Amino acid sequence: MGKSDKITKRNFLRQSLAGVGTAIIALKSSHLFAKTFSFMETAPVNPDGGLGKYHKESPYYVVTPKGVKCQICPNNCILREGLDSICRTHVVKDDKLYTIAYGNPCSIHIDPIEKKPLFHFLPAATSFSIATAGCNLACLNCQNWEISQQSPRNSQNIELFPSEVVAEAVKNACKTIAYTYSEPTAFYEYMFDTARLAKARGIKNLLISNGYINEKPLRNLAKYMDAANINLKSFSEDIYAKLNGGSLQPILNTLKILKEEGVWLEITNLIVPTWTDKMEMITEMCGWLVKNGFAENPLHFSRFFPLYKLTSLPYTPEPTLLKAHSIALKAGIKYVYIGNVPGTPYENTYCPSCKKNIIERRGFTILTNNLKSGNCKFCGTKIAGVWN
Amino acid sequence: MKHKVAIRFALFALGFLSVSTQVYLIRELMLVFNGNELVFGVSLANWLFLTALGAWLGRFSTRVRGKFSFIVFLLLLLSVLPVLMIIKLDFFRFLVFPYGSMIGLRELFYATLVIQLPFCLINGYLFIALSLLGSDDNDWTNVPEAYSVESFGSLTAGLIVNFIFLWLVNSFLGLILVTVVFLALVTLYAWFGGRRISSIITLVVVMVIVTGLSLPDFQSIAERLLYKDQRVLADEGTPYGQVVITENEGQLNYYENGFLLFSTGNLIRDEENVHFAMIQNPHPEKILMVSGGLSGAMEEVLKYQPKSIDYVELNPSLVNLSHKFTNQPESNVIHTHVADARKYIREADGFYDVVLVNLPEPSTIQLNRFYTIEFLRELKSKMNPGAVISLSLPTTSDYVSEQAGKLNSSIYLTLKKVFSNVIVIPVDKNYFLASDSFLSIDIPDMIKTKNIPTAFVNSYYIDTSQLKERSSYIMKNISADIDVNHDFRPVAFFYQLNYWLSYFGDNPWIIGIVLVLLGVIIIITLNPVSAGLFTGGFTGASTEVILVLALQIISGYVFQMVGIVIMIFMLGLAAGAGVRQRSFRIPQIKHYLALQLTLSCFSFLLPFFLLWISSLNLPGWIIQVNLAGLTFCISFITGMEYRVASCLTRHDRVKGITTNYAAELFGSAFGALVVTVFLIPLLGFINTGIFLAILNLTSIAVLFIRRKKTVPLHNGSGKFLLL
Repeated sequence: MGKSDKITKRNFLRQSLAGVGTAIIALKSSHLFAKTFSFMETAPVNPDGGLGKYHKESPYYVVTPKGVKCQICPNNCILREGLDSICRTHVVKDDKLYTIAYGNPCSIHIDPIEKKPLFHFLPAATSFSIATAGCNLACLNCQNWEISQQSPRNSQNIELFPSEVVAEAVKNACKTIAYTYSEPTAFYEYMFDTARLAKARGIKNLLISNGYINEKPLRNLAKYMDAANINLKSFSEDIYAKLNGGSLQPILNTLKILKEEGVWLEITNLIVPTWTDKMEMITEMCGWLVKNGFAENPLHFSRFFPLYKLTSLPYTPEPTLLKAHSIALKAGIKYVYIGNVPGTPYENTYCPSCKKNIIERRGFTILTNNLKSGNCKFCGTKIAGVWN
Repeated sequence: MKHKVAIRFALFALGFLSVSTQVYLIRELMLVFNGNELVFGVSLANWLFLTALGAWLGRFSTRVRGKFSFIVFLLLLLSVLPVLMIIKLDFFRFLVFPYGSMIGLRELFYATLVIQLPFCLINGYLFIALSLLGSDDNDWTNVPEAYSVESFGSLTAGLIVNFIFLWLVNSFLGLILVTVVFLALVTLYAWFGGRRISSIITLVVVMVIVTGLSLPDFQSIAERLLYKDQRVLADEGTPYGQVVITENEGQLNYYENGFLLFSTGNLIRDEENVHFAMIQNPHPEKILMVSGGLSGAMEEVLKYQPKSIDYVELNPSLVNLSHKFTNQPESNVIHTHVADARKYIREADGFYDVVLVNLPEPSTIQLNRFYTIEFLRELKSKMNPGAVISLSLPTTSDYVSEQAGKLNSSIYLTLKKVFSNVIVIPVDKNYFLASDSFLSIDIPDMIKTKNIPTAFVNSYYIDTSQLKERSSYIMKNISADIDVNHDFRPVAFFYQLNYWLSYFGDNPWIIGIVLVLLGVIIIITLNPVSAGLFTGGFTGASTEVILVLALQIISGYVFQMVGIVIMIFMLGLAAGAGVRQRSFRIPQIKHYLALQLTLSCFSFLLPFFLLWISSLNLPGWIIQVNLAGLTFCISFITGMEYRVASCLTRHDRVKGITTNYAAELFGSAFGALVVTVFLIPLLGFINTGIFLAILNLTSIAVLFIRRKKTVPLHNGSGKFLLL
């Protein structure tokens, strides 16, 4: 090897630095790019393990050799210190499970109850609506993704502990408190304590949820809930996995449990083109609902608008919604509605017996009400719901 | 001689195929991945990186036995890759990713890497292999001439594809035609290379490949994948992008470049786009609508019985197709103008009472032009006193995130600089209304008073108290510390990009830091001459982006002009690399330093010149000629730089060619990405120019300090710090 073939010291240092630097960047980049094809996010790192001000110990967990297992929802996250749950609202410290979504909602508004949608529960009531950040699913078309796919640590929150929520609801003359926008299962403890206080004050509690919750926490919660709208996103395990990052069976269980517990229930199904618009699946879904005793529970078919990550799909055509509506009625569901189509006659409530228009609605406004003590004024048929 | 002629055919073919494929691939990427500037930048950066990697591998081509046959084999392999890439892209998109979903940056990075890898590696390798084959240690000028010939191939491709193919045929057919031309050139390479049998075989292979590629109807297959469960009524490739109209259960869906523009029968969007603004003006007689009028919004405007509606739409295909497939209202008050809206407004006569800007949010720099203070001032000069303007951003009615808050703030503050009153109406979108007159949020009441028939914008669906509450919530999250949006400092585009990245939990700063660190590593590993090419490539790509943007801002968006600017850039590169001036017969270090200094001065002065020229009221063609001239200058200097660098590194021919070409490509890749996503939005044009000037001065300083070790001594001996 000649003299000219030897590498100089400067060259060696320079190239070593370059090599090490490149390796560091590659490793860091691969960490940043780690979740390449995953739509079920792995648990994000909670770097400091700190609890912050807005925490409370959760009642639903068990300590296992692998870590602390949260038992609130079917994700059943097994956590160690430094890791957040999939819903981003639960952490572990000293072998205890804590929520960090307690008293720190990021979204507070007053909405008409029909917006939830709840059509057969206290019509025209206003609802004091709250949510913290976090969600146990990851729907590609989430309407509130900015808070649902976010940790309460990073969202812009307002301090409002349970007793203050109730006080605000009273102050604003709201008959109901709705746990909504993101996913109330993610702030279960906050919702539970607030609902308990609200019930004591005579305020009704509304659960607007994806229904992805385990039986025990649900049954305990149901004692304080008065009404629920559960989003039955599809009737397919495969679609639930790919579109929502969840599973169908737990939602079906939730529907049954809520019914058993006497919570007034309405169901929403968003019809997403190419995903959940297959009439065979809708037929199967309606058949299951009727078979399992939900014929009297209103079913809302909602029109899809491109949102969040599902922006390449078209809007749901109106004829598709009408077909679904027709299938549901034929299957035996008595009260079927279409949402997000202004001016549609299917915002009205029709008597399942005489077919007359009992409650005429336009948007969130009730134009005429032909109910008499919860019965059709024309033929006397009892109309399912909680009317006052 | 024939050998050199053969190599020139091959190099020309390489440049021809490369640019053609790039044009079609990037169009397809934007279509399939719903692209914005970041998508474009990442795709292009990946392309250049991989080509640079291929070029680096090209250094081993000297060791290959049977070079000629191997090169012919690679050229043939290259010929089938463009069509396969497009097919792979369409299939890949829907086999790997959920249907209809947006793809995040990480996924995009890997997807474009995988798809572009084979073509770019071979392309880069072949350029070096051919350059080495056509050069020898005695004549260094062959190297820049190879670059020049390749650039001419690129220029030819640009002309043919942009001005002929894109207008006449779909992407697949266009690529097949490009493949035919390419293979014809490869056949000539084989023929002039003295391999007549090889050339005949090549010709036969050409016919087989072309026949094979032409048989399946790839276009229909792609359509079925992209528009699942929808019937495609029209699919037109236009220079502005792909326009597709589909039908599903009687509803028509209009797509442009894969983005859903609108679906028919969407009363909510049509009414919101129109009534919030129209109802504010007591007597709206003269209306200007920028885009969004083909979905049904026009009927809403007509409810006010205006005297005139000027509707401006950029893409003529959209207008023509909508008249064919949708019932557009027939009224003699409607005047449709196919033009860039900013250009139209500058030249418009008369004054408007209501201006409805129904464009998407500022997700590209092109769209950002309609959210800037300069645009609003131009617009106001054509508005009556008390007239109202409406534009919109994504909704934040339930929650305002940090990123959305900044975007809202930027647009709000920009509007407030021009108009006395600005309100935000948060429904399905955030509608920003601005006027010098009083504006009311009590929309339902005004609709009722004026007795305008509406399905959604009324008190049944919209509660005023809740609207006020939500509007007030958004206003509380408006920050006064946020920058106003300018043409030459498009901050709103950056905020929108940031907001888009938050969909995937990504942070643009991390991307920036990674790029900077990578860039630094690349520079310190290069010898000063190649490092100069890196900064030169960075500067060249950056100034090309600046010039194209300036052209759009000053002249309005004219697709052909953008294409011409890019062609002139190629021409300048080719000319600069091929110049044979006496003073450059044996270029020396001082020439290289002088070129870098020229680049530095050019980048510093360019933004000032652009600002000055934009302030004059010159006819469009003068501005375009000026910008074209500037483009030629910058690319000519960059081409000359390559020529001089080739001489300075001639004593290690293999390493020199490889490193120089790779360095310039890396620099261009960085330039394209960094300047679009970070420098222009955050620093603005002037500071970007200063940044580029400093970058080149730094390169000059390094080269000047290390000049004795870098430049070969007259007797040919000496040490060289080369990779």
